[in-house]
Amino acid sequence: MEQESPTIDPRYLELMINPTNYGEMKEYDAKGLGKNKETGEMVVIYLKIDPLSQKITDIAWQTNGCGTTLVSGALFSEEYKGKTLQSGKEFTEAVFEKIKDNPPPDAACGEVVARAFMAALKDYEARQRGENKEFVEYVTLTCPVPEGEDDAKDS
Amino acid sequence: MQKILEAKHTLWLEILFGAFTLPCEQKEQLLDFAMIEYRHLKWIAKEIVKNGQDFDWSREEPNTQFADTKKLLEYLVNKLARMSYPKGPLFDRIRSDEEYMRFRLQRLAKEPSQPINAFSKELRYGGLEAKSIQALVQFLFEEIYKEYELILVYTYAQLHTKEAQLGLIFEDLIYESLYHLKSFATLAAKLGILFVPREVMKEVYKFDDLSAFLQEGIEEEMAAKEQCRALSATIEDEELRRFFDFIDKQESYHIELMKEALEVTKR
Repeated sequence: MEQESPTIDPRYLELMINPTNYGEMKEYDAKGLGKNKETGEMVVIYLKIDPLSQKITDIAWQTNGCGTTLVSGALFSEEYKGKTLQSGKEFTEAVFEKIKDNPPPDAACGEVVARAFMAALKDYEARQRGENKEFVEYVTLTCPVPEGEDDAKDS
Repeated sequence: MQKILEAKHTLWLEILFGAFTLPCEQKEQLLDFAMIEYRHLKWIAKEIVKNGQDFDWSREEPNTQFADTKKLLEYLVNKLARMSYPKGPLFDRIRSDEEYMRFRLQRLAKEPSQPINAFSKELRYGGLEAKSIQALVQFLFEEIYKEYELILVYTYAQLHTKEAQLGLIFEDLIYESLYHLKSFATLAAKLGILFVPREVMKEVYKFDDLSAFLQEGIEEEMAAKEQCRALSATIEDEELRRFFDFIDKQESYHIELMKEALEVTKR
């Protein structure tokens, strides 16, 4: 009997095996951490930013998350690269709007990536003021914000 | 030493994941060598900690995708020849181990070559239907990474604890994950979706709170048990069904070990 062909999107498969822009960036202009307190999932995003144009010239990211987070991280990083900080922020806000209607686990996977980006923006602004802190943003659309957690700590 | 550790980390993964692409007898030989390489990795990391420094699990990009077994084995022979270590008892041992590995791999490379299908993305497994394959692929992608992550997390934790009982529990958890990684990667190779797991972020293993890590880990293991039970119920293949039942039962004791570690950290 002829075996059915599996319905796995080849692009999805490729991103799971080789997620775009994945890795650590040793020298960066901004770094942000997104966390999901419910699941322990984390995403760290590193940005290289052109100071004049405010464009994101390079991006790297890492996660300990699930397949959906991995694919979201890869796709979002492709979106962010080349955008200005402002348009990156607008894109992220649009993501927050959109994922509110998604089922909670999938929404959380996309949100944790977007939260990491927002944390990186805060880090960049803090660096411009000469502050050195670690910025963490928590998933809130699908999980409660942990009590007493600040979004920045001195590093 | 960090640079040597990174090169050793890469070599360990190249031999380990290379093994999963080989036919049975050659695979067993490479798996043994991979275990030796893992021990080297741990010993080098231990030396770094002993010298009052810290290390991280950075690595180079492992090279594992070859068209046939001969090309893979020749690559490993050359790679072993390029490894360079300083003087000292640990590195004398490593040099001697790798000299023997090179000798054995050179012999294996002379055996008839076979094509490697572990990366073909064929997504076929016996008579398994599409829905089961999809569930299996999703599980393997997440769990292969997770087992690799756990090996690195527990090795790092073991090298940083002074508590003997915790050290023994971490050792058991590492053995568990090494076995699971081997089992899942073997399945992935059969499906044609073998891959080397992505790098583990520092924030995962350089944590402030071991208790919180263990607590989260217990919850993750419970979720993994659920996944195993779901796969066992979904997949219409006797061998795979029995395998996932077996892994599910293993996870139960795995959780007990983690609870025991949690108790030790609370003392």
